[in-house]
Amino acid sequence: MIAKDLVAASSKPLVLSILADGESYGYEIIQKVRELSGGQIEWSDGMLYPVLHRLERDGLIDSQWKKSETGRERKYYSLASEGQKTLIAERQQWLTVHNSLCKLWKLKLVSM
Amino acid sequence: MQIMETKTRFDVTVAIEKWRLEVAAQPGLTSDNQHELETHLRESVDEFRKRGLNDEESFWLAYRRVGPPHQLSEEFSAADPRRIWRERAFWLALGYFAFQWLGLLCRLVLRSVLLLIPDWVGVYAPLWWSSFWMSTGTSAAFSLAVSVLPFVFLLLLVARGRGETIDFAARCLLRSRRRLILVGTVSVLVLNWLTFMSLRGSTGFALFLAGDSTIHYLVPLAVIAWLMPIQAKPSPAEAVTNS
Repeated sequence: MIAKDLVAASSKPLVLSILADGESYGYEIIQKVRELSGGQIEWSDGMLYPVLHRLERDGLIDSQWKKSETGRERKYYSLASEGQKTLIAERQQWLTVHNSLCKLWKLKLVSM
Repeated sequence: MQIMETKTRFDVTVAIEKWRLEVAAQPGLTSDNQHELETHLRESVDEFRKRGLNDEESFWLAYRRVGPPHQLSEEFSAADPRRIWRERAFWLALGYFAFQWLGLLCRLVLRSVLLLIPDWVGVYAPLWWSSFWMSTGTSAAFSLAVSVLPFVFLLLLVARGRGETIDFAARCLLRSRRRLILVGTVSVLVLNWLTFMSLRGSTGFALFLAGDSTIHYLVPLAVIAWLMPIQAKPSPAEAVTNS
C-alpha cells in the first residue's frame, strides 16, 4: 500500500492524466487508478470528489451532467486547457523526482 | 442505520433511499454533491451485483467503499474554501484572545511587583522613576512592556522547543464549547478583579468590567466558541464496524 501522503500528492497528476485520455466520471476514475496501480493505490470515494471539485474550482477541469449509454445520469469531467498546461508542468516535476531516485537506485531513467 | 436489523427481504431501493436521506441531512454537501455520490453508490452496487453478489451484500460493500455519510461530509467540507477561511478566522480570534489574556496577566504581575516596593523608596528615587511609578497604569513604558511581554513569552516557549506544551494547553481548553467559555470567562473575571484590586480607589468593579472585559475578552471568546471546530462523534454503525 502507498503511504497516505503520497496518495494525496499524486492525486492531481493522476486525475489530470486520466482526463487527458478523454472525459470520465468519479467511479470510473477510481476504478482506473485501482487497475493502474494493481490495487496499490486505494482511493476512497470521499477523497476523490473533493479533489475533483478543487481542480474544477482552480479551472483545471470542467464538469457536465450527461446521460450515459445505460440511461444513467453521470457527472463527467474533462480536462480544461489550463489543466493541460498544469499537466505538462506536473509531468516534468514527477519525472524529475522519479529520475533522481532512479539514479540513486541505479535503475533505468525515463526520458523527459 | 437500522437497515441491518430488518429481517424481511432486503430492498436495495429502500436502502439507497435511506442512505440518500442520511447524506442529505449532513452539513457541507450541496445537492449536486449528493447527487454525484448517489450515482457513485448505485454504480458500485451494480458492479457488485454483476460479480454475482446478492442485493444486500452489494449494497453494504458499496456503502463501505463510499464511506459513512458524516465522514463524507467532513471530507467534502475540509476542501471547501468557506471552511478554510472559517478556520483561519478561528485561529485569528484565538490568537487575539490569547494575547489579550496574557497581556492582562503580565499587567497584573508587573503592577503587583511595583506595589511590593515600599512607599519610602519613592521619596529617594529620582524624579523620572517616581513619576513612572506613580502612573504605572498609564505610562507609555508600562504599556509597551505589557504588549511586548506576551510575544516574549511565546517566543521563549517556541525557542525552547515547547511546542507540545502549547498544543496540549490548546487541546485541553478546546475540548468543548462549554469548557472554553467557562474557563475563559472565569479566568478573565478573576484576572480583572485582581487588576481592579491592585488599582486602588478607581471606580466600581462593575463599571471597570463593563468598559474593558466585554470588548477585549468576552467578544473574542464568543467568536472563538462560535467558530470552534467540534469533532463529530462517530455514528453507532461506524463504532460497531470499528470495534
